[in-house]
Amino acid sequence: MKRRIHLGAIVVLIAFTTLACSSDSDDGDGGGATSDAFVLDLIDNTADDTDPVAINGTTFSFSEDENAFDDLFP
Amino acid sequence: MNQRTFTRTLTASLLVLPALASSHREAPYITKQPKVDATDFYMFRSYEVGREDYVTLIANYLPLQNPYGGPNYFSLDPEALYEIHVDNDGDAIEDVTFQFRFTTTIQDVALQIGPIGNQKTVSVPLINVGAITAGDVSNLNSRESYGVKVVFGDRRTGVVQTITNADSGDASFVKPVDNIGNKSLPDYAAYAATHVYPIALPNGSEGRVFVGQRKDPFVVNLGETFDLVNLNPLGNPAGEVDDLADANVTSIVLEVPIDFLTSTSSVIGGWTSASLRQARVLNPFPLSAADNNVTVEGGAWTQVSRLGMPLVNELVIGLKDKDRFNASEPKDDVQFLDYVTHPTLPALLDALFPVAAPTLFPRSDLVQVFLTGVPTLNETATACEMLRLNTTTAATPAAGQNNLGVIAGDSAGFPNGRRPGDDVVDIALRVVMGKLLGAGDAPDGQLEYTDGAIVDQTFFDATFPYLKIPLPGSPNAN
Repeated sequence: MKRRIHLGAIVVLIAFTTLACSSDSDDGDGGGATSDAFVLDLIDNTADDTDPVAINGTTFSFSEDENAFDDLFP
Repeated sequence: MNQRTFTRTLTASLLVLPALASSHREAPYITKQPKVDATDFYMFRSYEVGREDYVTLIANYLPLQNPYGGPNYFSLDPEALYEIHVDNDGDAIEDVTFQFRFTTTIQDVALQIGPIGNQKTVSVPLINVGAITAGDVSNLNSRESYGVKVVFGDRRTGVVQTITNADSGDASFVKPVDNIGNKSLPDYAAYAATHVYPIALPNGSEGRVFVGQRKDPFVVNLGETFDLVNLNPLGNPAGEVDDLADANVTSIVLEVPIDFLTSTSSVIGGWTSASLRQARVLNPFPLSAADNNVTVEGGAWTQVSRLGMPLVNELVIGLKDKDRFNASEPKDDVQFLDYVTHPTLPALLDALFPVAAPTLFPRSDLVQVFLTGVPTLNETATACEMLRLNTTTAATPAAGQNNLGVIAGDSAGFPNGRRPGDDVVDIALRVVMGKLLGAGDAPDGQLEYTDGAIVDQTFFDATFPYLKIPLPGSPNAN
């Protein structure tokens, strides 16, 4: 049964608070992103041979979808 | 105290003094991630008798471990990537990278609790339920293992090959449990020694690997240094307390043949780094599990720790750029150039003590030591911060090593590589105050600066993995 995840589910964007990335540019695209979708996209594209996504200049919006990450957990 | 001295002292006190722990909690963000906090990096021609054709690389992580830090002690992060990089053509880009990934498995040791006939099986809260020896680890409830890969070329897109146990062919190695205490581990040295593995390298040669807890090899008068250098920097080099004397650390120790690392140049540059997945989601309802299900982590590896030369991110890089430095790569080091050419540490010492900082700018002497290597010894083509080692420099036998390295005439010591017994704090203090400059540029450059906490080769073993066994969490005799 899918577990209900409340608003207490915390998304930690490691790079968001501290680090840029090691790609060629750390300026980001300067656009906007929805945090839930951004995180899910990162996790869906987990790989050992890619560079992190630059986020400097990106404005994140934080939804209150308490079920956004249900599919990540057993 | 005269007015000038007072003003200068006040000014200095408003600044953030650099930490003198080599890289222990040196940057704001990494204090949140101790398991991936690189503390020291060593690279030297092996001086164990019979191993002269090898290079030993040591990457230490997880600083300031209180030996009694149970019940979980100090496992490495299964969600992290630990790496040791080697540049062998002087372009500041890695050519050989060793990657370490760890797994923690809970055995779920349980006891039958309650009266016979009405017992319940209940999991224990400890990581061991009895003594652990070299031949019997059945009482160990939490076990760590790891795999090692070597990447040729770019660390992310290069050719990846697995390193295996040269005896068994296994690709998985066991990390010994931390030194819980003398009752749990009555002979830790013998137990840990069984975790030194011969490794088969892709070119057919062999090396050795060990990963486990060790006594922290770094020596520094930490408390006084943080307290506005509350000591006499011209005092007895052995007159102060080593504040890390009671601390352990976790060491990744690797020994490989010289010719496995070298290519077009006999000079190699090395550094270690740790990376985490870019995204992390916390699970508000963790399940009972043998491994982590508290987080889901994904995305690309994102570097959060970097360490080559000791003391750079402490003594050189400004506070606002320390996290950025930890995320950076040597090939991009031009962005930090001002910190080397116009260093703040000498000015701070000048303000705090009656000593004169060097007047030469830009500090070409520091550029050589930190960014290009020492001419005729270990210079490379591209300026960047990494630990440089001329692999043709013969190792100095342990008994003959000088803990001040190159500036004392021992060319096999720091900054030509770094050995555990090199007193890099005293060396760094002397070099930044102008040891390599003439009196015209550095009027006090030949003074014998020191933090008062001495280290030399007698603190260590003369055989792999060189670092001493960790201090026991329980000092009571078994």
